Amino acid sequence: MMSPVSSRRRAVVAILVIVAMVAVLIVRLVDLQVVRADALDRQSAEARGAVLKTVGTRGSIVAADGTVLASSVLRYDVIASPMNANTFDRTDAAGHDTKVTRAMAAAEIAAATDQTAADVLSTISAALKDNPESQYAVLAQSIDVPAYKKLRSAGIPWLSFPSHQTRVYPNGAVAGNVLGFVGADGNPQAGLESEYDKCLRGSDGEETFQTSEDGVTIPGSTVTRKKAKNGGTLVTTLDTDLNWFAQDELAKAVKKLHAEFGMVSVVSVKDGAIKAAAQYPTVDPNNVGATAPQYRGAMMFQNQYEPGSIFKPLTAAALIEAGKATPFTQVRVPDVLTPGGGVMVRDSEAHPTQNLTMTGVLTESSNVGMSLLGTRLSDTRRYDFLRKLGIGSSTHSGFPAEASGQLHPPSEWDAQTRYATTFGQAVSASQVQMLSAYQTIANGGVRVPLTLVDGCKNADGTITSAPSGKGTRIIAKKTSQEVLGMLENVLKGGPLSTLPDTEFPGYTIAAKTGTAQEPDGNGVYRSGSYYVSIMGIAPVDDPQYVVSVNIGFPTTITSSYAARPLFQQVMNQVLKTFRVKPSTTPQSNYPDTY
Amino acid sequence: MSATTAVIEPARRAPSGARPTRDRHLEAVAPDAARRPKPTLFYAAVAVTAVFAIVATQLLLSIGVSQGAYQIESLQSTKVSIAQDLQSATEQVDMLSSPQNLAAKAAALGMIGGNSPAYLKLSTGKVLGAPVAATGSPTGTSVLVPNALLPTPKTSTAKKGAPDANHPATQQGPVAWVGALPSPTTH
Repeated sequence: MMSPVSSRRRAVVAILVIVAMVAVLIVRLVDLQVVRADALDRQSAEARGAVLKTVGTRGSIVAADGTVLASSVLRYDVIASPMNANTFDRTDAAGHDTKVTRAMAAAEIAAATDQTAADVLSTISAALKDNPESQYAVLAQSIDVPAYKKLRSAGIPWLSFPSHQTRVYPNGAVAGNVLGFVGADGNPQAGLESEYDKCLRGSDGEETFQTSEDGVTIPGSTVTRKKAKNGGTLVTTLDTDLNWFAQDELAKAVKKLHAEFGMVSVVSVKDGAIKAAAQYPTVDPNNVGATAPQYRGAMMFQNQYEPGSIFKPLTAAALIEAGKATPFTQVRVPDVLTPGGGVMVRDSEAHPTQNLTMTGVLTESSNVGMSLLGTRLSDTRRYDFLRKLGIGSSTHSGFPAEASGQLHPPSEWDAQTRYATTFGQAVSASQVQMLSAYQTIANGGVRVPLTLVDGCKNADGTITSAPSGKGTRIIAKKTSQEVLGMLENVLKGGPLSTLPDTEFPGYTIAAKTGTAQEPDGNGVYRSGSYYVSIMGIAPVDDPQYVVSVNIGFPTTITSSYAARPLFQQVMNQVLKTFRVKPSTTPQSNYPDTY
Repeated sequence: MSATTAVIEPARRAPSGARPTRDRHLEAVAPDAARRPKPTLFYAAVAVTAVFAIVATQLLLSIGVSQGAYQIESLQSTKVSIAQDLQSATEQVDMLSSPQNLAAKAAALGMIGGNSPAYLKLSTGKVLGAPVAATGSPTGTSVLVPNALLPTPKTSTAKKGAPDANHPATQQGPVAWVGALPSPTTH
């Protein structure tokens, strides 16, 4: 017989052992059911059934009217299992069996994938030569849906068709430089694709499910572990047809003039929307390799040039704004100015001393005249005004690697720079910066940030990244009207006008030409070839659009006349496309001379 | 231990002496006791039938669900196939409606872009600009704005001159109306 003490001790020990065992079991249970539940669930699903990656599609990029500029589509690779590439039986609809040999199957594959049967057979035999048990040989890559369906219905048992997303650009090179492109790995490499990747990128999801022996999903076994999310749609401000027209005409002009490159852009004055961004040479994002690397970006944002005479209206605006000059301010203009200190300013052509108004100085595009007028304003005030117009700082229009141009502070100006900055030399700007400055002048002095993107329409319907559209007044309305009035004379066809006989019936158009010298990279200006440009605003009585035409270093005609036919074509197209109403108010008719 | 139980047993029996009174009480309904086996059989039958019914229903449901699974599978593969067709058709439409393609087709039809707009101002009756026909030759066939998706323009040149859906044969005189003349329905 046991003593009651020893019996109690035994009971205590037993209870302790039981408690310890239960504790161990609980720990294990929590570990399995809570801590590692996800991983184990997934493992079991993988072992018993299948794990399916659900694809979140990359969003489209569309034009302002909804035309698809870039979208993601599925493409299929054709993969053969060479060791199994033998004769198989095919049962047709009537139930008859036919033997299909490897050669017969190869002919079918070749027909669907745009190659010869010999190519297909040699790929298979090459794989078998390397490894007699080879299970993997790529017969074709990225075939489209019709080809895939054709091959799939052929029912060749030793083929598989893994799918993957590819980016297509249905309009080819139209706005290609702005859109950018996506690499083979699905990561964006340039342009809007890259800048708005966060909007466009989708995220993949994952589902697990179990299947029966014949491959049918067992009802109720599907578990969505992570939902796939499609990318948003990026809505740009571009007009596809206008962009194409500008690119087409630009390409003709650049070829005809034997120039290096060209750019044409159109901006809507009221909201700062960039409607066209044409460039030549241009990149077709479907075939990036065909374009030289320096032309794959968007030059209007990323390249900066000394703007030349199209800069003069900015100086004129500064003078009027400061009360230092009016369109009628008179100035005696020789063809060469030597104010001392080693400075020499020269007009493009020799001429006797002229009695010009400030309007005449702009019409004639006289460097000397603009130097005499521009230096009436203190360097600091002129500098501050130019900075306010956006010269020397990026426009933040939503484009990657935007150039900010160069405008040094007056303390770094030498005597020549002081004069040169009045007529657009010794300063550099991108095309989009010049457009932004002209937009300000055209919009009654209110600067609206230029934009290329209307917003990102997310998959859930919300819109993000929409531009604020908020304007800032930079110059007085009266100043802006007087500058536009002076620029009317450039196209009028008088003896002074820089572009005679460029007709836009019914419209009053303000324009300025530029024939800029560019540094050759060795500290001096390139001689004999110029960067020619025309900026135009239409119509003057209710400005709607700014058109900028730039041609880089034409050789058959070197002056701004070179850009004239192109400017006329594009401006007319803009007026037609957007149904701009002809001018109704009379012109300013400022005198050029006195 | 058994000794203890033996001692307690009679003491427990004591209250059970009350039983006869309860029995007597039950005796009063004794004639009803004959009915007892009947409901047992009835309930057993009901229970067994219910079990069979449940099993049968479950079997049918299960058959239904698996039938549904096959249907879902087949509908899903149809959906995938339709989505592929949609993608392919959308791609085709987007590509064909690209300005490059339209310009080439228009040029193949002999169309020329006009670039001398003219306007009639209604308030004054004045014509702005010169309303003249566009001149020049169609140049759209040379592809200045590339599009790698478009097939090489051999198809458009091959069709030149041959009438097709987009390029009907030239017809002399007015086009004769075929069928009943359309008339508006008014009330």
